[in-house]
Amino acid sequence: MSSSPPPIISVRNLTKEYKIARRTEGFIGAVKYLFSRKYDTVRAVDRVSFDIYPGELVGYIGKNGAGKSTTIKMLTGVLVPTQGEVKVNGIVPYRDRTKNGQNIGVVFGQRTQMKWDIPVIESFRLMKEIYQIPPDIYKQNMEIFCDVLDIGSLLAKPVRKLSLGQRMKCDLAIAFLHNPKIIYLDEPTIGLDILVKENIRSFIKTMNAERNTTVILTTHDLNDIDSICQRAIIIDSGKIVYDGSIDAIKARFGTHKVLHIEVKDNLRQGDEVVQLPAGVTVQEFGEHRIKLHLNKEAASLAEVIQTLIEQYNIVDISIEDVSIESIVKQIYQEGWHE
Amino acid sequence: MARYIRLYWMMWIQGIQAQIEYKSSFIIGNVATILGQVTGIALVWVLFQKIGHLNGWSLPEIMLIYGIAALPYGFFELFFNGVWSLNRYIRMGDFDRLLVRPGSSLFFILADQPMLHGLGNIATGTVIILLASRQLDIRWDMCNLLILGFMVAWGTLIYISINTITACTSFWFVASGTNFLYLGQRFRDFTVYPLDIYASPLRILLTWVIPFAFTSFFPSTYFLDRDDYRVFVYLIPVIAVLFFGIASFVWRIGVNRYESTGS
Ligand SMILES: Nc1ncnc2c1ncn2[C@@H]1O[C@H](COP(=O)(O)OP(=O)(O)OP(=O)(O)O)[C@@H](O)[C@H]1O
Ligand SMILES: [Mg+2]
Repeated sequence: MSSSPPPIISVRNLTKEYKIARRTEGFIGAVKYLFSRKYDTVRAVDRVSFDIYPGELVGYIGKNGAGKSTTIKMLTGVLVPTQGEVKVNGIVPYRDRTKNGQNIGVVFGQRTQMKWDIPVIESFRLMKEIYQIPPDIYKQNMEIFCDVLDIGSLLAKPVRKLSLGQRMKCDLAIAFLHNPKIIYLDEPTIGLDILVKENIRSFIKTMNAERNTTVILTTHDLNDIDSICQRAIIIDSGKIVYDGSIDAIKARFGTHKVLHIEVKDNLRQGDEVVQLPAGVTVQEFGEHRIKLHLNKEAASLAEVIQTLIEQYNIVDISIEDVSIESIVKQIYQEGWHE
Repeated sequence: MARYIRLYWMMWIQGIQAQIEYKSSFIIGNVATILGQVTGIALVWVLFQKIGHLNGWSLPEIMLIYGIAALPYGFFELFFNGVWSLNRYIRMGDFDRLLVRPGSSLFFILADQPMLHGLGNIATGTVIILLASRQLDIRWDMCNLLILGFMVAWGTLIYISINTITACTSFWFVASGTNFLYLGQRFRDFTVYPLDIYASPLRILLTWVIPFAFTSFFPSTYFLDRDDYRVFVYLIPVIAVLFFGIASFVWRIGVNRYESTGS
């Protein structure tokens, strides 16, 4: 990336510690708590550094509590970092929230920017005023949103009457309404069905392709990352454990599958000596269930299933991709070796 | 500036729209406010049947103070009541949303929750002022109206400032922040009577620390021609601007302490 423009987001040794007042149980504890200034500190983000360039689509992933949301909150200017530097489009976000706010759009998956009791369209009109969006851009964007996200029929409804997916589509549209340079999406697909997810993914890609919007996205759905992002940053316990292309991750883990097998036989511990090929590990064995992890490159799926059918009375088999959590866990435990 | 007024107006209308969805709450709120004011002034009236005057103040004079006190508070409720929801915003982490918008977060919070029952306070206040003025022979010509208008505006700013400062405690004490707001509001009860009936610690408190006296008593002395308080009348805008400055400062410190929530 040496010949590319300067980074639009630049982060150096960014650190956030939360202070949590120490508290002991019971009444005495509660009284002590009132007067004590003793804190435990939780280091949620630990000396994180990265550069993001204009137009990049970056997936920011990690287990629950890894520090994703905390990082996003520092990038958006919501939180003041404990240490380190952050610059977004030349601005230190928490120092100049007004200027920064004009450049960014944000979706916090669990919250809405819209006012609960009034029709959706009113919130769009308010945002038009807040961001001083020129009428022609507003009109043009509303047409795109109605077209791609299909929200036209929702605009007259009060927000509280929208389903989760409908609300998320509206919130996403609001985040893009003022043509921001950067979009932060903190779990935009949480709790949504596959159709809405796909709709949202293609919308994000469209906006990125047409406007060169930089997108930073957190999610627990590997498919979001797979379909939207080119680059992934993986964080664990506040530290970056991987920063690189999605293709490299896929090349390494895309062939890994998890098999859930349900059998009629009553499985007992110690029985698990089935002759499985190399590259397969047994993760669970008991009751009427077996869970296997296999690498398709090392072991043939057909061969494994064949072996199982010969030994057990199989009721059901399902095959899944490895979850992002276990990938993160594996990268964290084993490190990333090229 | 024009842009901010337009924006504010829009947020206010939307806040009202949301409230009108719950019609009964709107009607009950207003009826309760008016009843509260009427019983308050009725008590004063009963009292005066016994004592004739209070520390040299006559019934109509006290009614004037009472009525003027209701106006800035009514306007505060009607337009800037949003600081009452600050605690909820902080506790639920919803304050995040306001911080990512271009523009002052205080501005956005103030317009968040207009209370239509402020209208009840404004209406009863006006009626009480008119009743008192008849007996006191105060004429509401253009000049007096204008002066009253300014005083109410500065008074409203004082309410904004004090309530912002007390609401900001939520940035430090998330669980109990609203209590400080309530506590501050309790001192409002003292301002419907003449300041000089109180012992000096309370007088000093209501003048310089929680300066509610500048929202009701001092403005009233102007219309009652009490020249001995004239200095304080001139101080009204000074106090209002000063306290708003303090409020903005505390706000900025509070916002930078904000830690959001885990999800
Ligand atoms: N406001 C807060 N006060 C105290 N601790 C917090 C706060 N917010 C987050 N934490 C802690 O910081 C750590 C990181 O939390 P964060 O919300 O950034 O994780 P995350 O990666 O977004 O997780 P998830 O996938 O569950 O959303 C966690 O240990 C969490 O308990
Ligand atoms: Mg999170």
